[in-house]
Order: sequence, then structure tokens, then C-alpha cells
Amino acid sequence: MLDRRVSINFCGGCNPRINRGNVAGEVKDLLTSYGYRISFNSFDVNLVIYLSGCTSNCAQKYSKCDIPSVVVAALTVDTEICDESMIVVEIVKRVRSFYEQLER
Amino acid sequence: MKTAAEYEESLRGLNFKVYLQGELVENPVDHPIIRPSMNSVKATYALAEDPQYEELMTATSHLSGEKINRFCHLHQSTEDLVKKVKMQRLLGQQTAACFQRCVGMDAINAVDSVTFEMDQKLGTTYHERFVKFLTKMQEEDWTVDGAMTDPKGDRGLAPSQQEDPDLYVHVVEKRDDGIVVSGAKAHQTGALNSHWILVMPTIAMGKNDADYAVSFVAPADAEGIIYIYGRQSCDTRKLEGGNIDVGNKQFGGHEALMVFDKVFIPWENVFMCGEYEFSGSLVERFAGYHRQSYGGCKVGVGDVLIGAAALAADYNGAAKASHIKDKLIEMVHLNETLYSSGIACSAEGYKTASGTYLIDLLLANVCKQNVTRFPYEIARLAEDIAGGLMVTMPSEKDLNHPEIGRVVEKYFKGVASVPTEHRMRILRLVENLTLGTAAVGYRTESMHGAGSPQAQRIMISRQANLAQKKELAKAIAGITIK
Repeated sequence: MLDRRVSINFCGGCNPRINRGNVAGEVKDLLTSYGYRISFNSFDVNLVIYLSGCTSNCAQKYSKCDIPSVVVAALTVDTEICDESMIVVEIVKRVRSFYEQLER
Repeated sequence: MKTAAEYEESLRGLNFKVYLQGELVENPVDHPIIRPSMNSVKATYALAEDPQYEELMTATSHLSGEKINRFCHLHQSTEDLVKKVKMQRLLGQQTAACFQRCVGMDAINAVDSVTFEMDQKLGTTYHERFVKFLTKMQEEDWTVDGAMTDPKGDRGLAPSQQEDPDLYVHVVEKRDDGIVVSGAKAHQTGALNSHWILVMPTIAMGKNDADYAVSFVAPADAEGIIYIYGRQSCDTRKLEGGNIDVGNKQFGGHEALMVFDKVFIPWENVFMCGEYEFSGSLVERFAGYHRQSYGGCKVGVGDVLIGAAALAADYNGAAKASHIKDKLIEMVHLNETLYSSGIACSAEGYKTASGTYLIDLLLANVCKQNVTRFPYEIARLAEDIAGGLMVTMPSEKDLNHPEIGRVVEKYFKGVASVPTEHRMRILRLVENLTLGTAAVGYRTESMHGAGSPQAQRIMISRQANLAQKKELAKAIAGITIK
């Protein structure tokens, strides 16, 4: 099995429309329970979750890295509009799907 | 980088000579009037430790390649300039106060490019000295106070024409090993929460003012420097020991008069000494950066004030009234307009000869000109929404009194589900920001900090490019010169 390393990379948080801390905490807890290793603001991983509080998407905008990613920008996940209560679910779904395909 | 705890501890090691209300303060860090301002600077260290804010609060040093606090960074791109404004908005939101560390950041960025250009033209070695200092500042994660404003005495006279020469900081002696300076700097934001002071001249100067064209760094507690702490409206509420009437218990800002009484500065710490023809550009660049800063920090504090006004409306049961909604919209509109020009002058920044990026000066001055007006209107609307109770309600001692507490609880209640104490807390916060200790930063500093309104109008006039606008009008109107 692959070493399932995922990083949650934050924007700076000057204008958040969502609670980034809560989202990150819940994603970390869930993915950790599934055996993933979660770090923050790192690129030494297989997959990055960019977590931006607003649609400026600063978490990804200033990143010069092309590692596969899930992009959360305010109430969107990979550009699809998403209710705040569903953001964690959508992230986890995408992360698991990414690794399932990778390991197939 | 220093942790927040290490920053506080490092201040305890300094030996400041500071007077507050006529008394020499033995321990500034724990003094109840000073302490909230230290907490605000401390927040610049604490947030840099938090992964959630790291993107804005830190940068990569172009000197060492190491991660550093953004307040110690020279802007290497327009991205850096934009992130600076966003960081300032964030800190304004988190402290609802002046967090003081911007003046040093703006000073190092201005001194960097000006000393580089001085050396190119004059063959001096100021930039090399400055870079040595900056390297140490980044390693040690120092808070540096950018000190520009002199007392200025008679505004109609140049520095060298003043009856008292100390009304501008000046060189009184040149030695083989350094210079001796005297004079004072007024309104020194965060001076007592700083490790070092970076002194700059306050105006463009002529040949006769050469002794006043001086820039240097000194330890904030250097021998010969004394501070006289500035009063703030309602400041002694901090001595009462409560936590409601102060409005903002944890955070604040401060200013002080900084007096130099024959202070020795070794040459290695001198970045300008007599090169009067460069004093104007140093002032212009520092002021430009600082005018950009206000498009971030005041917006962040504005966010808190808008939130407080909206809560006051909720607690008063007035939130659904159309005029209240409209006033809140107007506050947001004004606040975001300030932010827009802060971001715009950053996005339109450009590279100077030293490699450090400078903001667009026209847009930065437009930004600050708006800051001299909009926070006043936002404050007026906040007071309108809050209601007169903000300045007539009794103290928290009355609320907590065993007998009259019940009376206060009964008659100062708004919406039944909201405790009276919550209503009083939010009204005290509005009071704090609009006419209490924080109004120093949110209102009068918005007017005069980084230069009074007329200073921006002069810069706007210089940068306006009216000749091009006239040509545009002629072309459209079909005017040709025969």
C-alpha cells in the first residue's frame, strides 16, 4: 500500500467565508482514522488540499507546485459549489478516490 | 523565528527609561496601561506560528532563504506587497487595535532602496551596512520601530532655522567611531515594544539642513534615550481591573515621545549622514509604504467595528430595520473601498534598483486619502446603530453590584434572549473603537498617521499626470495645435 501522505495547505485567512480551522480539523481526524498521514503547509506529499477561506484562493494561487490537489475556495470544492456542512465530506471523498485510483 | 513567549521574554531583558503619567515605569511589559499594546505586537509572533496564518504571516528571506516573519521581509514581488496588505487586515481583525510592527517593516523597505541608490550615486557604503543590520534583524526576529516624525517646532521654518535645534533629530558630533545625535521623534508607535529603532529624516531637506539628514539604527533602550508615554482617551480604565468597560481587554496600541540626549551611534549603524538630497525620497517611499499599510490594518479593525455594530443592532432588536441594514451595507462598502486601494497600489507595484518592490505611489496616496475620511464615517454609522446608551450606560461595577446590579440588568436589557452583560460588552467595544483608547488608532491615526491629508494631496498632485489627461481631452474634442 502507498504511503498515504496528504497536506492541508492554508491561505492566510484574512477574509474567510468558511471556518478553515474546523474544516481542517475534521478532515485531519477523518483521514487519520482511515490511515492517512496528514501534515500542514507541506509539499512533501502525494496530494495537497488547498484550503482557502475566500474565492481568491490564495492557498493555491501563490503555490508554484504541480502536485495533485483538491481545491477548496470558500463554498466551492474543485470549483463546484458546496454547502459548508458538506465540504469535509467532499474533500474526504476526493482524497480517497485519488488514492484508490493510484493504488489500482 | 521567535515564539510569542520568547518575544515577551526578550522585552523583559531591555532596560527602557519610560515615564508614564509623571512616573518612571519599572516594568513596562506588565504595566496595565502598556501591556495590551505589547499583546498586539505579540500577536504578530503568535500568528506566524499558526499553520492557518503562516501563508500571510511568514515569507522566505531573499538574504538567507530561511522562513522569516513577514514583518522582517523586503518585498520581492507584487505578490509580497499584496500579502502584506492581507496580513495587516488579518491582524487588524484579530486585535482590533494598532499592532505597531508595520512602521519597522515600512522603514526597512524604504531604507533598503534609498541606501542602494545613494551608494550607486555617491560611492558610499550605507547599503552594505543596512543589509548587515537586516540580516541580524531577520535572524533575531526583531521588532523595529520606524521613527520618522520630528516635533518640527515652527512649521514655517526649515530644521536649520528653528530657534531650538533639537526640534529635529540631528548630528551634534562626528567622531572617528561614529556620530552623536540629539533631538526627538514624536508619536512613536510601538516604541516600547520594539528591540531597535530605525530613525529616518522627516522631510525633504536642503544644503543648510545637512546635519538633520540622518538615518541610523539604535537599540530601543540605548543610553541617552528616554520615552514619555502618550495619553489615550479612557486609558485609566485599564487600571480599574475590570474587563467590560475597557472595551478591548486584551489588545491596544501606544505612542510615545522618544528623546535622544546625545546618543552615540557607531558608524556601522548609520545609513545616512548629511546626504540631504536623498532625504526627500526616503520620506516619500516610507510614507508610500505606510499609506499602503493603512489599506490593510484599518480595514481589519473596520471589520471588527462593523461586526460590533451589527451585533448591537441584533441585541437592540433593530437588525431587521431597513435603515440599519442599509447603514451596515454602507460601512462594508466604505471598508472594502479602502481595501481595494490597498490591494491596487500593491498589485501595481514595481521593482526598484535594489530589487525591493515599491508600491504605486499615486494609488497608495489615494488609499491613505480615503483612510483620512472613511473610518470617520464608519465610526459615525457605528455610533448611529449602537445608540446613545454607548456613552450613557453605567459601569461594570454597577452591573456587578449586589443591590443595583439587578436594576442595571433589568433596564439595560434589549432582546430578551441576550444577557445585558453581552449588550454592554458590545457597546463598550464600539465605544473603545470610536472614542476610547482604540480611537487613537482607528480615527486620529487614520487622519494623521503616515502623513496628514494635505501630504497625500501634494503627492496625488505630483503623480496625477494632468498633461496626458489634457492630451486625451484634446484628441476627443478635435483640438489640434496649428
